[in-house]
Amino acid sequence: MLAALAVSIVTFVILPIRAARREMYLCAALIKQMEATQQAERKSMKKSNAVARANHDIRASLAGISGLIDMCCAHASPESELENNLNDMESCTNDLLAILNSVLDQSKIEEGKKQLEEEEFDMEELLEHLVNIYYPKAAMKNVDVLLDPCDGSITRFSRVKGDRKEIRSILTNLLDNAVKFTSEGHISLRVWARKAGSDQSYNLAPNTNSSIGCLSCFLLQNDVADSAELQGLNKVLQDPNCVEFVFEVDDTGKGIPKEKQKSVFENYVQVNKKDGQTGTGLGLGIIQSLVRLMGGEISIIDKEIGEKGSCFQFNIFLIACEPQVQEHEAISVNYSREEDLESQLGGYISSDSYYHSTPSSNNSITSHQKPERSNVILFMKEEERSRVLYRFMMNIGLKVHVVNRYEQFLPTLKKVKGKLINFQSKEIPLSALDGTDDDQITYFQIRGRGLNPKSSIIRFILIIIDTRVGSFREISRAMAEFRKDSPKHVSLRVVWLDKQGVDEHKLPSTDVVMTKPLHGSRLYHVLGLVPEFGGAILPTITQEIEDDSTSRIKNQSTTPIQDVSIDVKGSSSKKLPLTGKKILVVEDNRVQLKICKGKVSQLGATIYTCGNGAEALAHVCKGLKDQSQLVDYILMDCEMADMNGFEATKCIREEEAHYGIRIPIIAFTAHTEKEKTDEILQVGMDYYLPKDFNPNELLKAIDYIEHRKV
Amino acid sequence: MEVGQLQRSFVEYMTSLFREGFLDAQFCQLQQLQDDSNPDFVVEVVSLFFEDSERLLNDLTMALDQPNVDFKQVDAHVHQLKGSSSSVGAQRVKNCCVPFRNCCEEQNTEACLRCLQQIKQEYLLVKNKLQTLFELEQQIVAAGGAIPMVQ
Repeated sequence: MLAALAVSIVTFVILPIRAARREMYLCAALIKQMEATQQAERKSMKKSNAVARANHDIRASLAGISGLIDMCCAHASPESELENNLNDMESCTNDLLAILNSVLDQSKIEEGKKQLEEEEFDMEELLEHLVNIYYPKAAMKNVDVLLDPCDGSITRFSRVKGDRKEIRSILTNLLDNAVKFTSEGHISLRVWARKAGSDQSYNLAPNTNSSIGCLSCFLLQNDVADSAELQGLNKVLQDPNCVEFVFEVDDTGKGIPKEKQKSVFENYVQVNKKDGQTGTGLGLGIIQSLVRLMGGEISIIDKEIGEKGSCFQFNIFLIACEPQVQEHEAISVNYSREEDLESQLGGYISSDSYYHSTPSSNNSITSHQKPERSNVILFMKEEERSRVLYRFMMNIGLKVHVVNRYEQFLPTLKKVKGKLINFQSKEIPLSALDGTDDDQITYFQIRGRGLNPKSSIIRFILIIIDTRVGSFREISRAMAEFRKDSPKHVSLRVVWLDKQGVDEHKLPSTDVVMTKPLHGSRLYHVLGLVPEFGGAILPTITQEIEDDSTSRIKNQSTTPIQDVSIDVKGSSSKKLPLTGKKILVVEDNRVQLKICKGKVSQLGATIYTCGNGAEALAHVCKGLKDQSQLVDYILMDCEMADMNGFEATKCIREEEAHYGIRIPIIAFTAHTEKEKTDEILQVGMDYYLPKDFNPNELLKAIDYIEHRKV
Repeated sequence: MEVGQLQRSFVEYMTSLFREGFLDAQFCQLQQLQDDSNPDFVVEVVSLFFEDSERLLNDLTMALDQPNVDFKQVDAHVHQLKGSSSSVGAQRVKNCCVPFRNCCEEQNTEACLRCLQQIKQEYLLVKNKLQTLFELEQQIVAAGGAIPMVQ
């Protein structure tokens, strides 16, 4: 009885009391914690505000300094030490402004005041542009920078609406870091896109502050939920055209040790300081905030064991615009316009798995029969780029052979040739010849050139050769041999990368020369040569036959490509700004004369030269008498020895008066003081340029003169 | 030597020339004028500069050697030298010309001779540096590489 009583007292009285006490204690601790967090939040907000205010004040002062420097510059004589010092001060001010801007951006984001702009732009173009900016810088360190189109999805969703400037700054920051910390190997920018599915959990609280903010809003009764950034983000996420873009910047550089990975995204921390390279390290912190603002998250992905370097991955959400008719639409992998991405791939795709999920049955390019795929031989120096191109081209249905060293080149050529010859001797089922569908090429029809079309199937080989892999002479000799022996039913196109040492006149006219790097629009152009994607089949021209009547078929492709920056060598149809104009340059110093000639000829004008004022006068007089020899403009040096520019001009103007003609005279002088410039205009010259003018300034001068006439 | 190494040496060397004031922004302008239609522009201009400068330095030596120095002539020569060195970007040579002209104005033969000595030294230095630079370029091209751009 007593025991039962004791037990019941314990269970019904003491235990609950203990539990309640614990609960009260925990509640108290929680409230204390919340208050502390609140206070920390307030402190942080106040600090951000203070920083922002200080920023504005500092900017005002900097603007003042900048203005004062400009005023001083006006009084400094050109090329003096004073001017040099002032210019240095100007660049220091600009540097300070740049640092301030990044700090200001960060505080703006933290305060939730950062507004993302929305403009329509082309993602593929932006990506290619950025990668190409870093390509030469990295090439100096022997690091390859490549754009990996992955599954080709960015082509479909290329036109998007979003904040181009901020996306650009995120990518440049990551690429900049990658280039800074990588001294060998490669940097890959991988991008793919997918339609935002409903099973994704979105980060609706992009800013860590606002999750605390939500808590504080509960306590402070602020309506954080209506903050501009959350509103904007919700609008994007709920738009039916919302597309998720995933980016990966992968490098083979120093890498970031696991323990430092978290702190890398905290502001003001730079992990590896390399040879006194300065960097306030603000970059990654801002990037994280920006990415979160766009609805995504950024993280460092673990690489395989044994692979060095770092891989940053982030995703953002943008609104896709109606895709315009893309010239290289035909190359978009796996997706036809109407089909939904989700139904094909479904769900979350990690960075590796998309390579495995190539449903070739859904390929809009292949059809029910298995057509003969074109062969591609890839002979490049850069390993990673070869790998990426191999995967991409295999995914779009081409048969790719990769050659890494010169010793493998000839055997590979022979192997491919052997395969094709063997094929020809096999029985060709008639069904494979059915169905001529013009836009979906299931087998290849020969166009033009009068080859027998009906019964033969042309096999196509595309050979991409990097001219830097070895001795160009040997390779081109090997190619010539290959061309000679290639059978009739094999069509060959060769693309040479980088024209270093390539004598284009020795190459057959169907060969294409392209500058590196091979990705983006250049890659699509090369793929456009392949029959599956619209390339014309041309008969193989052996190198010995130099047919003058065949025009140089550079950029041969039936699909015109927009924005392709291919190096076309000196095409005469290119019109330079001053083509057809005659300019007389009067200068007594031979070195300056040559340089001036260089500048003017870059603009396309025909140049006549004189070594002093008297000669110039004589030349003009001759021109006045025989109008066909009259020049359009005169560039006159003011500081010549014998008859200087001023006197010459005066004489010229006198002569001209007899004929009622006035040739525009542009003075160039080392002195830009007011007295000199006044004299220039008084004596009858029309414009003046400093001696170290660049061609653009000359164009501006001529423009000014022409418009003034009208 | 491997192409990458050569290119790196080239970039370092070029950067040091700018840093030490041997070359200035004008030299970059010259490089920008070099293109496919004008592939050897820089070398041609610089060679012309060498020719001209050596001729002028000779003329200056002779002019200052006369019993009655014609300072106007001397000034004219220095003016030419200043013009060419400035347009080619040979900053240190150009900088020597300014005090030289002052000495001419003062008609001070001693001071002029000192200036001439200094200019000759600076000229020989920059000539040496530029020739080394061109040799590096040639090595890179021979090894099959491209000349890196230095901003």
